[in-house]
Amino acid sequence: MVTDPAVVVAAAAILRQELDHVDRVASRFRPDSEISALRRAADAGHEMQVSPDLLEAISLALRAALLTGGAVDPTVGTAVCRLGYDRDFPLVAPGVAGSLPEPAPVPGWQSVTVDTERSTVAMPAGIVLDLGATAKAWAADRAAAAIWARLGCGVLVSLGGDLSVQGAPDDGFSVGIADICGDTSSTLAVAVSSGGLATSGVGNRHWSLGGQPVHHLVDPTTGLPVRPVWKTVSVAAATCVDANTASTAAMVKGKSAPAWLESRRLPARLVRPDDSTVTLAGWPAETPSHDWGTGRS
Amino acid sequence: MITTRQPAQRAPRGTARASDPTRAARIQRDAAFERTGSITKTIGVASVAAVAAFGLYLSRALPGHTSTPAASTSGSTSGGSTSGGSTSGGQSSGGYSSGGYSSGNVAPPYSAPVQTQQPAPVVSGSS
Repeated sequence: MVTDPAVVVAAAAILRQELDHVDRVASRFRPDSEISALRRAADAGHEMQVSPDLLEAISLALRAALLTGGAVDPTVGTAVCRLGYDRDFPLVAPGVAGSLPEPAPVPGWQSVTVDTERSTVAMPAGIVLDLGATAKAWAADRAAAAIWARLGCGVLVSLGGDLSVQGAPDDGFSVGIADICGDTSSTLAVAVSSGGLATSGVGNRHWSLGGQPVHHLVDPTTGLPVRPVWKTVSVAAATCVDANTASTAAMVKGKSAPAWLESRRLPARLVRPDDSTVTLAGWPAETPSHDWGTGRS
Repeated sequence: MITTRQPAQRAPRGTARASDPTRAARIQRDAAFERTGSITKTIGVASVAAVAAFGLYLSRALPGHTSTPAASTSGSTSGGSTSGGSTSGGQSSGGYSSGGYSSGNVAPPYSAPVQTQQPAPVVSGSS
């Protein structure tokens, strides 16, 4: 969304450009991506000199791990692959063969070494980096900043519901909040004036592994899907990367999430499986509004 | 607040042999000066400390302006990325922050969302 309809085509072009670029850099599903080349180099026992953008993408993922006490760990990629999510999600959604692996901690984000002076990354063989908790949000932040800088209009970029805002109008951009991830309708709308907003949950990316239901949010301490305490967690933050980092961390942290979010003054809404909600740190108290049912995102 | 204390004035020549009541009064006066100076100094130090504490609070209150280090050791800066990891010499393991992102914490927004009755063309968490 842009505040000046006259530039919407140009804004869409900038957005596509940013998405293509981030995909070429950080997608673990593309054999020709830079992060896939890094994996091959690591498997061969080498460090690799990387582009500034991959350096930043990995740095942000490691930062997320540090700031969440390891709850959001990019080295869960190996565990996610063991659960069958080793290709684009539409290919996984129908279900995959196999069985639930034994619990085992993931290698850990500390095993990834970044040298910012030489622009190199090194990690042990066998590690698959999954930047899912930060890279999409990073793309949203990049695109919003680029559109704002180049076109000079207010913009809201939404990538699968992870939102980044620049130059919002006085009353903000109106955003629906899903109670179930993957649901394009909403009974609650909030106005967002700056920064980012993200919602995490297990409602949209789940599949069957040999008949067992699994999903994409992995607990780094077990390498297995988290047992969800919350159906969804929505968080507002200074950037989309921070919002998605916090919402993902809250899903992993479970019962301790409200205290963790509150201590960081992050406005958040947490929905329990029985649809009761917890709002904190300035998130507006709820008065259900209309069911917008837009289906647009 | 900065205050200065003037040294106690000497008695003029010829009055050195003041009577005992005069001497007692002078001692009392000097003691009062001492107490006043001490109180003034305490207030000054407390004021400076309060200003410093308020400044620290403000620096943390504004999103993106935290002062908590990302990690416990030094690192290096290169190409807009600052390392703050666990080793030195520009090489580190984890704990990086990139341009535009706060290194010390997940930063709250400048303003919290507010509920609205306006139609919402996008939905957070829709996919």
